Amino acid sequence: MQETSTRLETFDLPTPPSSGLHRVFRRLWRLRFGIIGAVIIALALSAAIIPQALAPQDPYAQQLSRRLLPPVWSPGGQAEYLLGTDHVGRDYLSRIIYGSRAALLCGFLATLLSCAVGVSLGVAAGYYGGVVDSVVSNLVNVMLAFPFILLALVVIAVMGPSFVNLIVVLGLTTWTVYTRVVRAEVLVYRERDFVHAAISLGGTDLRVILRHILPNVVNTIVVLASLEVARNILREAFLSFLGLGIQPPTPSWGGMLSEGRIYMLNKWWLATFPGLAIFGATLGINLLGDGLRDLLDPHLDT
Amino acid sequence: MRTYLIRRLLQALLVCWGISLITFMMLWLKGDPTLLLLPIEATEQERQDMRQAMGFDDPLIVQYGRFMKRAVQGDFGRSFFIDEPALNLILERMPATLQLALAGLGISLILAIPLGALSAIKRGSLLDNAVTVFALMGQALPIFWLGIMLIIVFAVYLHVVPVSGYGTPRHLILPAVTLGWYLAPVTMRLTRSGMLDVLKQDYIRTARSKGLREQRVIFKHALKNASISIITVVGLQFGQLMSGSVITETVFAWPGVASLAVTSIRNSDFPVVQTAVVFLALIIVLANLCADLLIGFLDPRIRYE
Repeated sequence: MQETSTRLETFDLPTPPSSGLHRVFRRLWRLRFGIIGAVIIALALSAAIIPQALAPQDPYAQQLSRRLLPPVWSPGGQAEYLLGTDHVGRDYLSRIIYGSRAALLCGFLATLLSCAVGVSLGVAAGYYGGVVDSVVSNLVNVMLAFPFILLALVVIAVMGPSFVNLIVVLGLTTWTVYTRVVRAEVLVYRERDFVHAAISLGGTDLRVILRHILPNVVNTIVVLASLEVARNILREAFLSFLGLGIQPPTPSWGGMLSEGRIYMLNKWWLATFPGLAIFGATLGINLLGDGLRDLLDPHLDT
Repeated sequence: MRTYLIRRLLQALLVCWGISLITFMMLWLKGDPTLLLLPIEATEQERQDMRQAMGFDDPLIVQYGRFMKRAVQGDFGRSFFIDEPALNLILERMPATLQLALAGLGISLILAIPLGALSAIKRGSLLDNAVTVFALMGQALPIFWLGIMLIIVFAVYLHVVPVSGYGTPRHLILPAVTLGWYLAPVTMRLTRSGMLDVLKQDYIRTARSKGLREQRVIFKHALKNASISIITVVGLQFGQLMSGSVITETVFAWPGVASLAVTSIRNSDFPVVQTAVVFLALIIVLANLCADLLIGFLDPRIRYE
């Protein structure tokens, strides 16, 4: 059974031949959601790479006389602090901008690790079959039986909440999604004629895999990885929310959400904006990922 | 059918064994269990005493055997925090988790399956687009944020439900909706694609060309066949369900197994952590097994794979 994408389809009526420019616009319009995603991500990336240029204040500067100020449009808000201040007087907007670093870095690195592990295992299982396949498949089954969150929580609680531990844990618990998909694709491609040809011409296993099979699987992996970045951002946010991720005072959206939760009964903005940031970033990546899929391989359904 | 059953059972047992292994190894992540169980200031003598008392110096195989022997008898050790058998603490909280899990699952299914099926039937329509957008947004939403927002809106500003707690159906609404929202997007998408696959089939075309009413075509032919993929989806959702429970129970302070697991992890209460992880994983294995068996029963083709 194929899963369907969440891509938004548009149906084109038959049109008369159009100018090149018209065709370009049509193509862009069809990819409009991916473009929106790309814009959002560009914003998030610039916040992560050059926060100093965008943030009005220092995210670490505490000013206890200015604590818990509401956003500028609420009564009591001040123009200096557009989104208000937190419980120790730090500018919320700046914290949110700086928080993008933790989120994006974590998401990206964790995905890189899990992709590397998952794809390798999937390729091995699909290409060699037999015992290797059995072992890997059963390993995948066991991993899937664990709620990832508990596994991650336990490991981090034991090893300590450092940035590196976070990446390692996320990477080593989320690789299964790649393995399944890659294994299935490798199984298909292994039987194709060009692979048989390469093998009979004396190509080593590594060469056959890298030069013949992998290039065909790369599209799938890229789309999957892009969507996984979003999910890793959510996971990092949750771990930080529980206090087991990025440690304060480093700004992280999940951590800010957890700090703000205590005040949620009357200082609503402390819990709202970090969540919106997480939502926005994740949505942007999902849109971009769907757009990528439409571009690279519309028949792919993850 | 019998070989299929046996094969799936053996697979499930293998997974259970893997779970027991991972749970056992938890204490050894840092190499020396006393590092986890005793505070940093403990002297070497105290560590030695503990190692002797708990048998940490024995070969791992022996310890694993001991762990398993106790486990199958129901002895998972005593909690370090509350001096009670870990098993009792978990069983006490199981009803709350099951209640929330079933309510959340129910809400997500009621929401996702009709919408998913409808969006497949009316493909390309406004409804389809709206549903797809909704699914997309639902997947991007951090669920713990949603829970907090729901509390702020419905409990703090509107006062229609209590802020947190356990007991009455009113306490169940927000957590169940949050959990349901977490599961709905994926279910919706998979239902939609399952239906789409079915609707493409020849027998649907035959039914329509026979002149059957569209309603009959959909209910009698399409849905029945799509239900296989739907059940697969529901089975797969149990893993998500447990993950979602961890988040939801934490945000709403729901007294279930998952929140106990989180607090025990924070308190380094390892017997309880191990027991909680084992139970949650077992629920997932059981659910997947039931779903697989149900599918094997409904779709004869799968039995002969």
